[in-house]
Amino acid sequence: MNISLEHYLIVSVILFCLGLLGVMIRRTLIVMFMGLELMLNAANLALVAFSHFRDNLDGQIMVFFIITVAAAEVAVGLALIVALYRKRQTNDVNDLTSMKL
Amino acid sequence: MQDLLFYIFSTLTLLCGLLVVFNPFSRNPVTSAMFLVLTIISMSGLFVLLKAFFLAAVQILVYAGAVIVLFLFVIMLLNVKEEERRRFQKFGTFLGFAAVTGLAVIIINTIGQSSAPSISKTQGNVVQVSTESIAIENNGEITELEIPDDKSKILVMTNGIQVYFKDVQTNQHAFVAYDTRVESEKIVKTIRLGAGLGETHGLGKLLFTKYVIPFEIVSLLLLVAMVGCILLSKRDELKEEETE
Repeated sequence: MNISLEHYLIVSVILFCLGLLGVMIRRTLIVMFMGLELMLNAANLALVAFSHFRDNLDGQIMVFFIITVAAAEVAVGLALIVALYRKRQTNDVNDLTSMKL
Repeated sequence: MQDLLFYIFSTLTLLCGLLVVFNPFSRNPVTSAMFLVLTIISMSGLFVLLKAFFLAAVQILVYAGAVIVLFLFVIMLLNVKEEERRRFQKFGTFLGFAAVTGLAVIIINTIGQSSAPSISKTQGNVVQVSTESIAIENNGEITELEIPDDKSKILVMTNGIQVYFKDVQTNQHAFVAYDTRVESEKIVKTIRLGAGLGETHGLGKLLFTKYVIPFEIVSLLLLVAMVGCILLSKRDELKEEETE
């Protein structure tokens, strides 16, 4: 059986859902961030698969940009987490409810 | 072989991905980070299978190298403890699993329904060969095939003319049309080696021609992110002076 585009897309969808699951069920900010990384990686996988099966390099360029943006996002996000920890001494989203009604 | 590798790498990716977010044995963030490294490495294996060699390397360098080190650094800096188990944790986990499974089922169904018929290799008699395209006749239907830029496509034709790849020089490949009737070869189109090899060549070319403006914007974004990080992690000196 040949591996087709659908196979890669299904792997990508499952990986995306795992990332989403991580954001939903874990309560530590850092692990939620790792879930975000998983979701971004799933999108990367889908783009690379499209680019391979369409014989078009534009998808890979897009992945290149996504990796850069993800690196910037991680840097800023982790700086935010450190700043938050300094202010509130906590890392758990259940304790960060000052914006709740 | 490639099929087997696909299954190995995708299973590893998904298994390690699951262990990042839902590890029944440990809720320690360091364990999650380590499994994230494994996920990323097996995913770069998938990239290699998709012939995106450069991206596979970048994936390992940037994610497994820089991003994970940053994660571990912050985990150690903040001395993050294991997650406390709270009330409704089990219920929430169950709900999360249900919602995510539903989403996955919906999207996979959509992929299954919308799957376009895969492009079949055209076969038939060669009617005409030019430098730009090859016309092929099959049951009275004439299809014109553009000669592709990358060398992964090998066209084999009947009716006396075969079109295939061949090394013409040490660093040059060419589409060669071979006429068996007169036993002569004719070079149709030459291709530099490297253009289709891992596509790094083409990637660099695209990045600095078609996508040069997004490229510059991304560099600006990195600068902004850097400034933002410094600003965020700087202690508020004014407030500290006030409290003193």
